[in-house]
Amino acid sequence: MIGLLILFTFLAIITVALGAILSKDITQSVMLFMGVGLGSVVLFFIFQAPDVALTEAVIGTGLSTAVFLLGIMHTSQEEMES
Amino acid sequence: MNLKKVLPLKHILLSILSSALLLSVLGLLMQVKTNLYKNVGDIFLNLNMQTATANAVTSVVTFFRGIDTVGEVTVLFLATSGIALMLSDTQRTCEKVVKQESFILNVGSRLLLSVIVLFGVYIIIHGHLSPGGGFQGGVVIATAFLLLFLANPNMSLSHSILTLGESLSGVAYVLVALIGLFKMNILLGNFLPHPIGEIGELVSGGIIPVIYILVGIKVGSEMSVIVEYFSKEDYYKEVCDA
Repeated sequence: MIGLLILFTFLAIITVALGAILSKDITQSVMLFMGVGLGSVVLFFIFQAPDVALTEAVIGTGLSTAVFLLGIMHTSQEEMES
Repeated sequence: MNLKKVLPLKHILLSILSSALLLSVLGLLMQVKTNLYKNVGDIFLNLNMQTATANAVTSVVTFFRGIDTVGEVTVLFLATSGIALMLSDTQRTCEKVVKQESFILNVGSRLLLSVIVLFGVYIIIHGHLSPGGGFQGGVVIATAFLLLFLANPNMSLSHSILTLGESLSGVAYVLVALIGLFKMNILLGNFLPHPIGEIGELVSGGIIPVIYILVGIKVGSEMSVIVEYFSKEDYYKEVCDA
């Protein structure tokens, strides 16, 4: 059962990562990249590394996505103005 | 004859090299014995009794590999300095224009701020008992401030207080490490009493909770400054253009 969950999570991570690479819209790409972080949080938790899971959830999924989105927001505004 | 055109020599050499590397890594992996009682994790778990912390990861991060944590804090400090150098221009001296802000967002974000900061402080001071610690808790506090900046465009943090807290906690961390060096002859030596009977209590583990609280203050203030620079850049630019 837990093996099935691990396999499913791996497949989901690979799918989401491919989507993040192949996506044309950069905001969509960042959101899919957040999905990679979420999948790895589940994996770290299953493999009994709750410290790493917490770090990944806070930094990889939360703060880095926010910084990416803020950066995209500022740069796309400048492009539209010019 | 035509093979050289389809596959250049560089690509063939690269593929041979990468397959040789892959084979050597596979060979190394095959030699690993599945002896569960001889790896480095078990050595650290046996040594964990010395530090009297309930969370074994914490004792590795702050005590056995404590010098790595000093390096991480230094890297984070350098990153914050670089971002401040890049994003803080002379534009900051422009006069401020009050932006329109939503009352519901304002009050709701302030309500949520206290809860998120409380959770961050909980993660920091329970770092030696449960998963988490200074880095994670500090970043949780920074995300609370990110919410505040997104909801209230006129909000600004006092940079002098943040810089003061960050510098003081950094200096205190190095001082704690040096006191350990002078009293115990090892850097980051655990000079406070840490009896093994108190394992699992809130005040246990000697200097490890102290280090995590200092790291939490440092990371929280640094990350808040980074988040403010990133979310405020646009605001200051608009102010100066107007």
